[in-house]
Amino acid sequence: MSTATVKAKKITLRTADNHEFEVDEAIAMELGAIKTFFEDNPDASEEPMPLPNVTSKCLSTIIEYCKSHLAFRARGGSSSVEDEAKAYDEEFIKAQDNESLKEMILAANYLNIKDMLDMLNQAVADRIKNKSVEYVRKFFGIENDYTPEEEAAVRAQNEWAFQGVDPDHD
Amino acid sequence: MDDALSPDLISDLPQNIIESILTRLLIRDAVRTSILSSKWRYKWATLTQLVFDEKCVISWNDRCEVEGSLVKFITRALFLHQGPIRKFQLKTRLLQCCPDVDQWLLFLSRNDMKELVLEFAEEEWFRVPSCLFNCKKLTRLELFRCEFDPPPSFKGFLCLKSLNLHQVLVSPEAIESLISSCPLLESSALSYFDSLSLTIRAPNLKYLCLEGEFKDICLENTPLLVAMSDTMYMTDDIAEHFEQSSSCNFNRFLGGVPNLERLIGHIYFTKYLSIGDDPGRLPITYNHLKVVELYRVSFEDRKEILVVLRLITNSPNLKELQISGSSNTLAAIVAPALDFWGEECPSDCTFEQLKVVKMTDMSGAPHEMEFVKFLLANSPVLETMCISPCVYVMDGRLNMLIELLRFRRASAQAEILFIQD
Repeated sequence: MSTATVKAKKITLRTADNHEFEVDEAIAMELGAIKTFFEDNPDASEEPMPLPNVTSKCLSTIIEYCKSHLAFRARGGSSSVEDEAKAYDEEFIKAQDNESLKEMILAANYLNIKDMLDMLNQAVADRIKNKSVEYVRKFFGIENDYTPEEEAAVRAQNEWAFQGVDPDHD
Repeated sequence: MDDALSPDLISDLPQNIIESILTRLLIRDAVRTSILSSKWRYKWATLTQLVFDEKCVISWNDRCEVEGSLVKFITRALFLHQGPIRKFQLKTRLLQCCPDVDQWLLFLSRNDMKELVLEFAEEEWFRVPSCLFNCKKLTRLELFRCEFDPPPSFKGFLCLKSLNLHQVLVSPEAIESLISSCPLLESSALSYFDSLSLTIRAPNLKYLCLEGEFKDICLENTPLLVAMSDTMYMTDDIAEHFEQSSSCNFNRFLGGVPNLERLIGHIYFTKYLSIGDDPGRLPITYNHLKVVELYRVSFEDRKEILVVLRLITNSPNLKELQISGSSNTLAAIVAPALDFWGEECPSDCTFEQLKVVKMTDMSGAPHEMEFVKFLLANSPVLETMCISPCVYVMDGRLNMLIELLRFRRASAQAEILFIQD
């Protein structure tokens, strides 16, 4: 790692829509892809890093999220801090619409932000658990393109998993 | 109104994300996603991790019906599955004697399985079939209540990193041989092997957890061990064995772990270490040992006190120490005289890094207090000394406090916290 003479080293990221974000090194290192890049290229130039797959709106939300979680972690691992972090995550998810959520999942995947991706995936899973087929389709905007015969065939093929479930209610 | 135009949030996500989402669901719910749309029909079928338990099926009152349902569920799932299966987990109180389990394991062994977790209930031990030993790519193996008998031709799991065996019927030679033939083994938890003598040779082992009635443990080749947690139950049988043994348990256990960072000893651990001949000067220093937690230490037993002293005086970088006292003593032991402390403690001993000490379940016995006094006098950077009296001790608390007040503190920052429940 290059010896930093400047106290808070900043890293510049350039999004797909050509916005540049200057972030503290600590936050940039939360993004696994960035961390790996700097580990592999310790003498990387100070040029802004291009992120062609991430929009500025998305990146700014991600940076907010990472900042908050860095702060939580700095306060230690007590259960009250953990509860606060969980509450923050719940509010965070509520505040996003489906389109943004999808973008964020893809961005978190591309940037390799493990904790954020886990949290987002868990939020999606929680929305599928114990919910009816209709609810899940509606919530995620999934269009049912089965014909009635096809749907019946799938139910028959997987009847071992649909046992004891009313086909209307699920 | 928005629904018709609302874009599909998840159907086009990359497969690795879909897998991450679906593996957070019960497998039954994951399979049910097949009904969402034609894109979803086989998304569940390429999952690389399959976790089965009784939540997969409805619980009938009839045990046979549930078993039948569970067998059908798993068999169909495996049959419709496509692609590699990296992890297979089955936890159930049924199926120990079911021939289908052997068939599933045979199928899995032909599919480059990497992680296997099997947990059965107590009625009959499931006998692990020989095909398990052909799983060359296995990196993690966890067995609960199984019978495990490697064939003579078995040369080890060359990729195995994690081995957890609980209540597994297996000969000590087989375990020793298994451990030493897995060169990449990093983490292992072994519990409830009765009266086991065990020599562990695992050059890459970092994390070890032992729990049960052990007669003789020797960590012969574990130079990279970083963290260890041990619980040693004692029975009369074992106590008798110890009386006749002269080998030094302390050296056999802790003689070859110079990289140890964290040591947790639960019930009877210090007693176990105290058995055997006095090791004299220790051959190694625990330069990396930062956290030591010892439970049920009997301060009435001179040899146990020596174990604790020996351990901490050879750990120059110790940061955190937690000790809980024991109000039980196994046999009538004559407590050492108080001048023991003057004789046995090195006079030049300083705990240069010790910051936090927690003493719990204290009865206020003289040797416990002497130990606290010793720590306070020799810990120049101590920040917290936390004392919790044992719940049964009510009258002695005031005396404990009075004594604590008098002790000299080497550290000006040291706070003594007396925690009452």
